[in-house]
Amino acid sequence: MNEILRINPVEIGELTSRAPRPPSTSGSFGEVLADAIRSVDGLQHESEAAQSQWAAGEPVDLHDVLIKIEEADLAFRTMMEVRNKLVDAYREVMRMGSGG
Amino acid sequence: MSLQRAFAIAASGLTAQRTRMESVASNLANARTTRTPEGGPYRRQAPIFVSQPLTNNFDDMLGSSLRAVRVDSVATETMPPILRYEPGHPDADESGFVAYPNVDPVREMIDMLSATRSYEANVTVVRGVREMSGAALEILT
Amino acid sequence: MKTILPNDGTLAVLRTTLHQASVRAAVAASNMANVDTPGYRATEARFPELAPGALPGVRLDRTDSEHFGPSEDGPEALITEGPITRMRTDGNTVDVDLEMTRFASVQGRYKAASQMVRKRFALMRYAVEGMK
Repeated sequence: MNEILRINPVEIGELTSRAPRPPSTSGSFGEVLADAIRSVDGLQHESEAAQSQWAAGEPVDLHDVLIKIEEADLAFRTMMEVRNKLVDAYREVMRMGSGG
Repeated sequence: MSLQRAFAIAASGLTAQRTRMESVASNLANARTTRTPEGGPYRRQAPIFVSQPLTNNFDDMLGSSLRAVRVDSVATETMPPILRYEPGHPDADESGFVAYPNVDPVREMIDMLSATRSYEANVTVVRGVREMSGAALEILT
Repeated sequence: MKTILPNDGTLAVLRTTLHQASVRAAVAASNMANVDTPGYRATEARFPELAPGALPGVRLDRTDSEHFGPSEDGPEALITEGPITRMRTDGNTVDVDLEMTRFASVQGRYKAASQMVRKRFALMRYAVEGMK
């Protein structure tokens, strides 16, 4: 398991390019995943805030609200796919370990 | 928000043009009215249009730049009535002249056509904005 | 903080297009509503040119809460008096046929850009999830 934690998160590292911050090559899977979850949570909050503003008649564009909803949805799906892949990889490693 | 604003502005245009149509209808209906509660013949009505910012909140740069239309008042024209010599008319003065409203039916018809056209322009905006909102809704998959 | 989504320049351009089309639609609405207002001067929306190479809609850090955008919608619109194509005796400069044409044009742009945004999300979702 320690071996897994040291693998550089190449794919997810590319996905993080939206934020202006130095590329983290030392981040563990755990950190990257936590970042991803925070990002998904942030987008959900943005989407919910936009929907409330729109519903309250505040000056927000309809297309902006809808785009934020889609972004939150896409981010959530992305995170779920990453999670599924991680679970698959973990099971695979466990199977290799027990199967000898 | 710009789309809702376009709706609000077009609505102000519709209201203004409908007021104008009502004035035309009133003028045509009363083209030969010689008696009014105010006394004297009917006088031609004409709405006064003024443009006004959609909002007075100057932090809202777009909203305070866009102009809606408002009917400031419906003015009563002060043009002198048309005098016709009809001595038998109950409203004739001592010299036998009857004061008729200074309403020109041709002018009223032109005004009506113009109001209809402007009304249609605002209807086009309302329809268009509705279609744009519909297109935006399709962003949701 | 959108770390999980890629920095999508295309989406940013489309958002700017949607915003600018909706502002232009509101300006055309304003001119058409005032077609019979004496003395009304027709207006038009101008959007400042972006610096070469700058992506519209890329979020900049706001260093002062008093600063206006650039928001995700791109630069703010400037509403100015447009060139006079016709002037009536009452001082009104609205050319209703021109405004109708402009309105139809921005309406088309808005609808097209919405479809492209929709397709963009469908594509990204497909990239993430594959065919399901």
